[in-house]
Formats: sequence, C-alpha cells, structure tokens
Amino acid sequence: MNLVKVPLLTRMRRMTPGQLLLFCIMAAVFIWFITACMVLPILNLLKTVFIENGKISLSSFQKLSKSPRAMKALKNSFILAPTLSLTVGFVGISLVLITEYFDVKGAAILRLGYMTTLIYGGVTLVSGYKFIYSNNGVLTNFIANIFPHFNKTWFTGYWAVLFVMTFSCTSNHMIFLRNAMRAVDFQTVEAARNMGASQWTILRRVVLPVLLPSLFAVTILTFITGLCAMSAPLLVGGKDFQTINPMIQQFAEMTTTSAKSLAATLSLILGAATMILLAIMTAIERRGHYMSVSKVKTKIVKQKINNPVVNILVHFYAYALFVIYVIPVILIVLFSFSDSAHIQQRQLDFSTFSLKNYGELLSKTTAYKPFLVSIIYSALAAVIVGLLVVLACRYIQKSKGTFSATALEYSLMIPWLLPSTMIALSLMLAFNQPRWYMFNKPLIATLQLLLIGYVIVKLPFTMRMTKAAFFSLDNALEDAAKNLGASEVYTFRRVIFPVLLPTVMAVAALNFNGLLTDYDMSVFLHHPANPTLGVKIKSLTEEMGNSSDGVALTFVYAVLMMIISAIVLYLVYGRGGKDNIKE
Amino acid sequence: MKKFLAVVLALCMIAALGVSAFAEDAKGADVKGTGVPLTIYTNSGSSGRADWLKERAAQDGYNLTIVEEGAGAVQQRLINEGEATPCDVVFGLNAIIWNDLISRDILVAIDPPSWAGEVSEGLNDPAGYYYAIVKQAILLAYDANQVAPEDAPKDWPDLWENEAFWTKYESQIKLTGGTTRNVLAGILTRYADPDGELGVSEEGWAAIGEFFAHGTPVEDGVDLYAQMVNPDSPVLMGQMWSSGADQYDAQYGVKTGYAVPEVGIPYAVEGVAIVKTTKNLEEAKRFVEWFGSAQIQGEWSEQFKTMPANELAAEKAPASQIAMCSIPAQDIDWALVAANIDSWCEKIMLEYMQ
Repeated sequence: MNLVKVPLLTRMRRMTPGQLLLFCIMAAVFIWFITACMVLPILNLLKTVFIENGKISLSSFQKLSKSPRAMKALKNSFILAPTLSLTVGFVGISLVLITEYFDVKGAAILRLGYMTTLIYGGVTLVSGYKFIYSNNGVLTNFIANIFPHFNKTWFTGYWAVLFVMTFSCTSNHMIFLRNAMRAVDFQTVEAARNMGASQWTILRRVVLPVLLPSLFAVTILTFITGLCAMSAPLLVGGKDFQTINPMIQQFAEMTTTSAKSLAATLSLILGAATMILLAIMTAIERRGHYMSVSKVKTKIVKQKINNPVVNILVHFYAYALFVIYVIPVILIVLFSFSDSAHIQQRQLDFSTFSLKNYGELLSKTTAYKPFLVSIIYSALAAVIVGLLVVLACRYIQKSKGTFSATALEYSLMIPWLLPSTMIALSLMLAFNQPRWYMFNKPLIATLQLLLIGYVIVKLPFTMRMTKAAFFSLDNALEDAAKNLGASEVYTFRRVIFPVLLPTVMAVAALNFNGLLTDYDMSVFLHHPANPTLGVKIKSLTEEMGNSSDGVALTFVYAVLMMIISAIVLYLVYGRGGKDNIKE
Repeated sequence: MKKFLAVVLALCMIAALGVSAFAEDAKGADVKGTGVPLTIYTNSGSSGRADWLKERAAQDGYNLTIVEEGAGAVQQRLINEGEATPCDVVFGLNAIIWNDLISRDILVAIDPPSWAGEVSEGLNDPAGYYYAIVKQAILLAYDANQVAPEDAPKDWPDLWENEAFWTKYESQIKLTGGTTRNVLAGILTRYADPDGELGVSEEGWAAIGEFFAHGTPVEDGVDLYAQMVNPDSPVLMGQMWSSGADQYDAQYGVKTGYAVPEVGIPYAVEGVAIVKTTKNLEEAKRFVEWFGSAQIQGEWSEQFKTMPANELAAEKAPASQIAMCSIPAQDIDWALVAANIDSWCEKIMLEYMQ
C-alpha cells in the first residue's frame, strides 16, 4: 500500500480530454453541492445564532456551564457513548459469530431474530421494550407475582437505557460486520488449525483482525448513536439519566436566537467529539491495513465448538439473545390490534383486539398518500446519496492523502456536526430568498427542498460505510484489470463496483428505511400538498387536535413500516447478500 | 323528478355564486369561494379535521391545501419561510404564538369579519390581526374518582405549597407544547415585575422552582390519564385542555374534576388570521368570513366536540365543554408572555427542571 501522492495538476495533465471534461463536471457538481447546500446555509445559520451586533456572543457557553442539568446531561451522554460502544461491540460481535462463524443449531432462525432491529427503531422500539420490563410489563408482572415486594418501577435509569440501546443498536453489526465475516478466507483458518492453533487463538489472531476495518466503522456509528441518544433516555432514563440530545431538540424547536444558540452550542460540542473520534479512527486505519492476503478465497465453513460445556453455554446465550430481540416486536404487533388506553397502560387484553385501526387507516385515501410521498422521497434520496458517495469515495481512494481528497471526505461529514432539525432550519433560512448560488430561486414550498435535506443528512453515514468497503477492496483486482488493458471507467464498472455492490445496496436499504419515518427534516421542509409519513404520524398525537385512537394508530403505522422495511431489506439485501463471495 | 331537483339545485348554486361575486352584502357562510387556491397552515387538522374542512369548504367553492403540523412547527415554518411562504391563511395556534407572529410582522390586520361581534369578549385581537374561532380552557385536572373535590387543589400554587400534593401531579419534561406554555404563562404572569429577571420577580422564579421540584416528571409517550389509572404511578392530577378532558374520560373511564381558581384560568384561543405576504388577499378574506361564521363553526363544533368562540354557535357544543369554558379567563398580558415565553422556558430548562 505505498501510494505515491500525485499532485492534482499533474494528474489532470495526464488525463485524456474526455476524462478531463468528466472530471471537471464532477468537480463542479461536488463543489457546488457542498458549498451551496451545506457550507453556506450552515455558516449562515451559525452567523445568525452566534453573532450579536457584529460581535461573537459567548453567552450560551456561560448559561450552559452554570446549568447543573445541562452539565449532567452532557456528562451522561459522554458516559453512555463509550460504554455503549463496548456493550454493543460485544453483543454485535457475538451475533455475527453465532450466525456466521460457529456451528449453532438454528442459525437461520436466530439471524432473522437478530435482524429485527433493522425494521424498527426509535420510540416504537423503546415502547416494545417497555411492554416487557417496565411497570405493568410482562416480565415485571411475572416477577412481581412471585416476589410481591418487587419494585415494579425497576426498569429506569442508566442501566435501563444501556440495556435497551445495547440490543437496539446492533443493526450495523448485523449488516457490515457480517459482510466482513463472510469475506474471511477459510484457508487462513485451516492453515492456522493445521499449525496447531486453538479455536480461541484462531478467532483472536486470524478472524478478528480481518473484521477490524468494519468494526472500526460500526463502532464510530455506535459511539455517535450513544452521544445523540434520544428515545431511550426520554422513555426509560427517568430522573437520573437524561442525555443532551432531547435538550438540543427542544432548544432548536424554540424561536428565539438565544435558544437556537444553545442548541447550536450543544450540538457543536457533540459534533466536535464525533469529529475527533473520526480523526483518531482514520489515523488508526491508515496505520494498519488489515487484509487477508490470499487471492483465491474459500468460503467459510462453520466451526463446531469443541468444548461441550462452552458449546452448551453458547447455545444458551444465542437463544437468550433471540428472545430479547424478538419479544418486543411480537408485542408491538399484538398491541397494534388493541386500543390507545390499553397500549399506554401496557395491558395486553385480547378482548380489546380488533381490526378497527387497520380498517380506519387503510380505508381512507388521505392515509395512502403520505406513504407514497415518503417512499418516493426516501428511495430517490437513497439512490442519490449512494451515487454521490461512491463517486466521492472513488476519488478519495485514487487521490489518497492529497488535500482535495481529505477536504472532500471531511466536507461530506459536515452534517454530523448539527442535528437534522438545525440542518432543516439552515436550509429554510438560506433558501427563503433568491440566492445566486441556488440560481436565484427561493426553494421554500418546492418539491426539491426536502430531497436536498434528505440527501444531506444521509451523507456522513453513507460515506463512512462505503469508505470502509473501499478500504477492504483487494487492490490486486484493479491491477489485474488494468494489466489486461481495461480502461479506468470499465475497471470501475465491471470490477470494482460489483464487489462494492452488497455494501452500497445495504447502505441504501438502511438509508431508505431510516428516511421513511423521518420527522425532523420533513416537518419544516415538506411541500405543502405532499406531507410525509413522519409528519402524518406525529400529528396523531399532537395535543388539542389529537384523536382518541392516536397512539393505537401510531402502532398500526409502525407495523406497516416494519412490513415495508422488511420487504425492502429482503429485496436489496436478503437475496443479493446470499452469495456475494465468489466460490 | 331527481333531474329536475338537480337542475334547480344547480341553478340555485349558480345564483348563489353570482350573488356572492357581485353582492357585497353577503355574510358569513353565504360568502362562497371563487376557487382561487388557498394554502392553509394549521395545528388543528388531525382526527379528520383537515379532511372535513377541505370537503366542506369545497362545497362552498373554496379550494384549500391544508398543511397540518404541531403549533410550534407552524410557528417556525412561518418565521423561517419568510416572504417565500406559500401560506395564505393560518388557523388554530394560541394567543402566545399569535402575539409572536404579530410582533414579527408576519400577519396582516383585516377589518373585522361580520361575525367578529358574536365572539366572546376579549378573545379577538383588538388590532384585528387574528379573530377567535375555538376556545380551549387550560385546566388543572384530577381524577374525581380518586380525589374528592374538597381534597383537590383549588389553584396551581396549591400543588407546591401543600405538601399533600407533592409527587401527585405531573411536571413537564418538554416545554414546547401549547398547553404547557399556557400553564407556565398563567403562573409566571402572577409575579410580573418589570425589574425582575425576564420580567418576573424572584418570588415567581422560586415558585416555578418549587413547581418543578415537587412534581413527578412526565413519562414520555404516556399521557396523564394513563398515569392516573395506573396503580403503580403516584400521579393523580395535571394539566389538560378542555376538549381532551371529555375525550380521555371516555377512553379511560375516568371522571375529570378540575380546579376553578379565583384568578380564573388561561384559555388557548384558537384563531384565524391572514398572512401578510398572501397573493390571494381577497379570497383569503372571503374564507375567513365564511370559516368563522356561526354556521360553519357550529358544524365544526358538532363534529369535533370543541367549544366555539362564536357565541351563536355555542349551543352546538357539548354541555361539559360549555361548563368548563364558563370559568372566567385569567387576566394575562399576552404580549408580555409572547415576548418572553421562550426565554422563560429556556431558564426553566437550564435551572429548574428535574
């Protein structure tokens, strides 16, 4: 991996006129998009927020440092992020080992159970856990029946948050770490075994090193998820464990500049932490490049665990995890047939079951349209983001270490600096008037505004995961294609892209599912005649206009979303993911 | 026969259209739309309200696109969309937000519609920026099955001054909701003091501190009434808007009791107003005239069980709503509230919330 830094100008001089033209068009598109849609709007927002009478105002720092509550919430976020990275890392790795590496009976079913986090999240997911563990929950009631003095409100605070989030944040492991595991060359495992290595040594010294690039990438995501935790602390954190993001959200929802500057300050603190972590991870990545050296890969053969006691323990652990993952989903589906009052009291009463909510939702034409709007927007955004990022990553890979590559990489990470509410505000503020960099047209109440917003918020995640995939590319493939005389575009299209495709598709599916229920962006940017699903769902529980079935309807929506998400995952990932290694 | 009727009906409608287009003296629900498209923002569109209004208005010739979002979101949208906003008419919201929009020069004052005089006194904006359509009483509600009226709080300060109520009432964890903000306004304006921090005396801030210190924080996603009926939860009382009280009573089998403070209670006044940048001012005015009329407000009230601000439509409201909304309104300086509410909430979030 000794890349020689070639200056941009030299490279441009070496291009054919066609390549040069293509290069210039691409460069123009990227520079325009990054500047016009991200940098300028965000700078504009920060200016209105931090600059008072021509001077930078630091009053929000003072206010925050004097607030015990803000400081405690900040501390909690910084406790949660690293501990969550550890617990999710542990559970995530074990999920992948159980389903892909060890010979565990019923792995196919187990995998389906472990993948449930891919189809739901947020408030719905935490509610699912509360149906089991919090007061009146299934498990709590069961224990309380045996021990009458059991404290029924036990499921609250740091441990409850950590518990829920540990099991709900393994989605990325189940996709990306699993992909990496499938790319482990079995010959290396066999070779190690022939040399007398124990199962534990093989796992630690042969298998895990290959997983490291993906593990780095998903750990960053887990850390960020922990820092920005929202639903879990709100729903089960209780008095003692509130985090910073709900506070940011509320400040961002207020209209005064001072509240906005508090929101911006807090999110910049989180953003800075994210960026530092990213820089550290990138440096580590650069230091060591963990690749299996073999060129003719053999598919992995599941390992039977030799020690019978360990084998039984692993099976027990695997099925315990399965139960933890699956029961919340089952309860959400069951409760979606019940009514709002029983859902909120967490009383599972089959006599309240009916199809009324489903009927109400599916019979109204106004209920269909938001589905359609959200599906179209999410699909478009997922495709555009994927395309932009693959092109960007290709450039970064080819010009590694140059200023332009680093600049491009970090520019695409900008949206991680601010929460989506603030990014939506920055877009509104920037484009509520004609701007030269947006062709002198205001974008308010246009269809493209929300699309721009969706693309922006999904850039960093897509960037991070796609880059990891580029990293684990075998350079020999590209070299071979070039030596055989293939052109650069041809090599990319026929050799590199097919290898990346599973990851690109998986990322697109995740982005699609994530955007499907987006509220933070949609609420400010959606076109007046085309509200999205998230906006529609949220309006069900708005005070003063709420419907008595509001909560139950949100569960019906949640179940329908699970179905759509599952279909999408199956279509782009389930089938395509089966055989992405050439055997 | 049917055909004949249809023709007559059609003729009548054409006549009506002609009349409304030419005769200036058509009033209220008789003012028909001309079909010019109007974009309407509202926070009062869910539970089928938006669909109902769109259809009902279409019958009278109005062509509406309705954007339904939370009150705070509507406010933010209007502020940040600036002059590019597609919005013509806003309805719903509450006095705090109305006053904020006025101070930001987003609304246009219009001559009083013909029904303005039928609205309960003091609810319309005196300067003509917004006119009231629905009132929501903001109550201190309790479960009358578990708390006897003589043991119940008489006013908000009882909650923190009387130890018997500690932990039995809900304290909010999000301060962006309209009901919450009305409650806070009702408490803090009692301590208005031009020399105090953010216009509130030290005593007032101490009171708010106590209020948040002794409540049980809201469990996000679970409403007040679910806590009332939950034997494991200490909560028996909290804030509620009047139309919600009836709705939750039916849902949870609870009987809502409510405090009737001597100083009165805050009302969230849902109103209707026209946005300054509208390009369809005439049609917007026609819509306001039509929408606020006793006829349409009566139909709305019958449909959605709310309390119309228009007294001629009041009889269509349920008796329970009429009772709740007969509590005198607290004397609140809404302009002061609108100018300070975000700063108040900011201070509470940083310093007093649990």
